[in-house]
Amino acid sequence: MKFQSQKVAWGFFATCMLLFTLQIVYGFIMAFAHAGFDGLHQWIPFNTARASHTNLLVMWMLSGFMGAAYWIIPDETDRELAWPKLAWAQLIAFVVVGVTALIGFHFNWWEGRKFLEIPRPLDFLVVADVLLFIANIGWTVWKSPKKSTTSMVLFFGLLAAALLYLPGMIPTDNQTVDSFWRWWVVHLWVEGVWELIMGAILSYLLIKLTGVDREIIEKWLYVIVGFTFLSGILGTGHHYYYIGTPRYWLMVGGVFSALEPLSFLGMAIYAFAMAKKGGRTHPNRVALLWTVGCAFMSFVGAGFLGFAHTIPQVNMYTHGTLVTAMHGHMAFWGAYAMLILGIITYSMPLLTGRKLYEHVTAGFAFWVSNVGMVAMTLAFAVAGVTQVVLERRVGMDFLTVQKEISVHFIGLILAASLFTLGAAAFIWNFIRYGMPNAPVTGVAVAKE
Amino acid sequence: MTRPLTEPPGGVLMWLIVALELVTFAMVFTLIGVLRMQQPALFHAGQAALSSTVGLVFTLLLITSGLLAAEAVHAYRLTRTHRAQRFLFAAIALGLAFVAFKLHDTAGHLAAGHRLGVDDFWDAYFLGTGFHLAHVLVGLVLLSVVAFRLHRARPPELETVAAVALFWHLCDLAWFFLFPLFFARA
Repeated sequence: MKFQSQKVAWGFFATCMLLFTLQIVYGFIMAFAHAGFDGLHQWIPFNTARASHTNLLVMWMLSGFMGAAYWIIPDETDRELAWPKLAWAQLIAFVVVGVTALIGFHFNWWEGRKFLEIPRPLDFLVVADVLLFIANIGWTVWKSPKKSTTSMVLFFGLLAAALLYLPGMIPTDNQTVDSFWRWWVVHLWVEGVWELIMGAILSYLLIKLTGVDREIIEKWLYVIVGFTFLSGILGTGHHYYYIGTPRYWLMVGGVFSALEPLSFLGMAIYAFAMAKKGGRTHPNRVALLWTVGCAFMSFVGAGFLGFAHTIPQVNMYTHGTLVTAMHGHMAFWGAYAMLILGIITYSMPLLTGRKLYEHVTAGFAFWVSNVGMVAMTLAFAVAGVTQVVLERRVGMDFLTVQKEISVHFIGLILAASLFTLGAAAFIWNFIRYGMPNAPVTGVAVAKE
Repeated sequence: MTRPLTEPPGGVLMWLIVALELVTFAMVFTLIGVLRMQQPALFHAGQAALSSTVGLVFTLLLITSGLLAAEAVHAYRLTRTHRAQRFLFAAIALGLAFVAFKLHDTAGHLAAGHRLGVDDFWDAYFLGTGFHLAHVLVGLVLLSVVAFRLHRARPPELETVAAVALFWHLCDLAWFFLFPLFFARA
């Protein structure tokens, strides 16, 4: 650890672990409900579990990005955070807002807008909290003479993510118009500016772990990320299929989302090439595994499986079915969850001074969670395709079909149990690392 | 002159961009072709509102501008900077003429009630040529930046000028496909 203030990253990462755990719990509640065991219905109905599951995901992704930024920015700019205490306060405020929202969902305090269920008063608190975060890292970057491409991309990605939260707050009484703006937030986050954040974290990890020259990695990785970002902007069109928006969105969405897998493939190939080129000198092999795995799994989950139902003619049948859940799970896992777990794996030994990456559970966590996620994706795929055939081709009633496919959720639960085993190993490792107490060594050594 | 594949004129990055743009445009052309095959009557009706003379003027403006940009690169390679700059300004002027004429033409279509969301033909027309126009505008910005810097203390490298001209040719190439798809009668 180079700077004292980097410790705050640990707080955000610990929050990630907590929210990740809760997310898995709510996932199981829904999987059991789908399989016919909905005993908790009275207290946690499906819509509550669904809102909690997805919002916990968004919250731990944001928490992970903030933690990553608080870790990376001091390192890249070579100075302490501008206001370390504010960072801790901002973490606490973030958790308070998150917990309030989560409890609120259980008392029907929500907006019912997919992924943006958080009620309006809390929206303003989220915006205020994120602005404090942006100010903190922005001021740190601004005051530093060292402005690396990685820190700038990370900063502007986070700033754009904060700004893009605002379209979701545009008031309207029209369902289609509401969806139109809602996707500005959701899509332009995950297939837009979050990819800039991802590019920056990925590039930081590759620079640190492979030892390949910063110039090479920064130049080409940002070119690839730029392509992903640009195709992603107009790719928003694939959320506007058949929801009441004009027909030309079929053309726009079809063409540009077909391009997205191409750049994801480029990212995967590039990460592999850099890992190969850099050799295997860095001792934290598991962190490199998560990094390269992230590039690969995001291609499979976001690129390939997204493409599988992004063509309008296909989407006419798959829109709003479990096929989306198939794509969504592996895309978020591959692109963002693995990325955050990667930066956690990289930074924990430096934060705590312990080298648990050599422990067998570290590799176990990676492989078992990934195999589990692949199996979950397959289970969703089988259930989704069956649902499409029965509901959209045969014309059976929605609830009748849900009953027909409930057996596939037994498979899903088994796969998810495997995944949970891997996730638990990761979290167990995180706990064993303990609190951040590594001596701060960097500044003096680096400046000599 | 032969050069290694890893060092194409204009640099690897611009070729990569051009390759990706061509893939994108290829999808756009395929889409238009499919729509044209599926709905011949609609296409016929739409094309009746387009003038092939206008299409030809668009084409000539673009390819002449492309030729001038190529001449500019050639002159710059021979270190004849003034000549290169004149060619670049001429290329920009024709590009601007294309944009102005295109806007004028579009205004006419809009006045006639043709707009986005009317039917598949006009959706394809406005989106396809609009996407092309966006590239022309980017190309014009790139050409201008290079043209105004030729006499600076640190003039752009030959590779940069070639890269910008390459992007400008991409706009020509894309138009070569849009022209027959929309203006040649089905």
